Amino acid sequence: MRATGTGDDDREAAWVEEAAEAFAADRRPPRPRTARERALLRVMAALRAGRRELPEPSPEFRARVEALVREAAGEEPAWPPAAQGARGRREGVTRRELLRWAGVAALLATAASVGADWILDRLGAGRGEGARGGWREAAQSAEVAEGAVVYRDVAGESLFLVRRGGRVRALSAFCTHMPCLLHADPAAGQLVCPCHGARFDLAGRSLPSTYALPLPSLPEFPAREADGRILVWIG
Amino acid sequence: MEEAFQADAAALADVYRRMIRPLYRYVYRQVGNREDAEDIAAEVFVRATRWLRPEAGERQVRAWLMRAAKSAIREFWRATYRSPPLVDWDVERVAYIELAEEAEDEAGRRARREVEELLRGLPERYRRVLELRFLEGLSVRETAERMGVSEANAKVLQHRALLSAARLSPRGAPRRGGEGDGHGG
Repeated sequence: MRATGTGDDDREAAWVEEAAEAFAADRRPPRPRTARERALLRVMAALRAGRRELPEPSPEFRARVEALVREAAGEEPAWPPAAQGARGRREGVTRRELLRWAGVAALLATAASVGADWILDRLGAGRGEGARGGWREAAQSAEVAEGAVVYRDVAGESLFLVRRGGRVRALSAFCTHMPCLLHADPAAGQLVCPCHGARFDLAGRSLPSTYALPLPSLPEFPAREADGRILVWIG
Repeated sequence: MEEAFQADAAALADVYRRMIRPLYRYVYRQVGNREDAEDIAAEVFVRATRWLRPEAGERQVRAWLMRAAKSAIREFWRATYRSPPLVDWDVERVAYIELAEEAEDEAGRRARREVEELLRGLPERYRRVLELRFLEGLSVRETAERMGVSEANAKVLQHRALLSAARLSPRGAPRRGGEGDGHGG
């Protein structure tokens, strides 16, 4: 090795040692820069992953997931954590919390049939300027005729606008199996996934298909019409 | 109606909580370090809170989480290692593994088999240095002491052992084709 040592060789050796140290400390290794480094990193990761005993999830990680879960369940927001100090002090419900709440409600809005009205009541509190989420114009009402399925990108979300019985709904355009973009088949009244053949009806419900398990329904975004425009709440 | 919604949401939250440990360990078995495992597993929970309906049943949620973990791991390996994951089940099989503990056990068995595979046929000293450093988690200094060599030697040995396990030649050796020269990356 000594005899053949080159700049590249030394660089690689230094990188290997850095990566080995990171794994020993259970930290993220440096990202590989070459095909060789990728191959070496893969061996190191495989060795560490195949240890007999694995560490338990850390308390910090549990707290991180707990914060997500509590927030999604509409329980007491666990964020910001107490450690962030007096700044997060509450004087009743702050505007910020209301806005956050509205965002969470929008995420959970797929329970439309159960709780749409209830959610929309609360969304009202979050409307207006300065909100992270907001009502965004997705299309002109006239663009979405009865029975039509129209694809739109709105504020970073990919949506299908669907009108049935006069009412417009906004469904996520991604399959709930893996994030493949669905194709609309308005004639059949279906949304079809090109990846594994999953199918959804125009209410976003998973239909029997070649894919064996029933999939979760498509997330639905709150939608309303005003002044000839279709507005969608993007949280 | 509001109460039903709240009750569903609370039940779902409990399923998530019970899934923290098996999901985390399942992911760890495929990335080998805490930081990446935490980020990937957290991302799965983020997606779940965004995508799953509160009234989804427990079996469905568990199956969904395992599928989401599988696809998050695939994305991670593709981006970082440009290779398939260490443990790669066919999609249908994973779709039916609803018990996360079972999936985790299976991941553990596969991961240990992969280690045996990597170490098989290596010269004894290569095997030893990898065991000490990566399986037992010793420092370079401790590894050197156990093996009765200098630290510098232990590092060289470790590098060579990894190359050997990866079926690569040392850099200085003539080897053409395929490999980039490492510049500009």
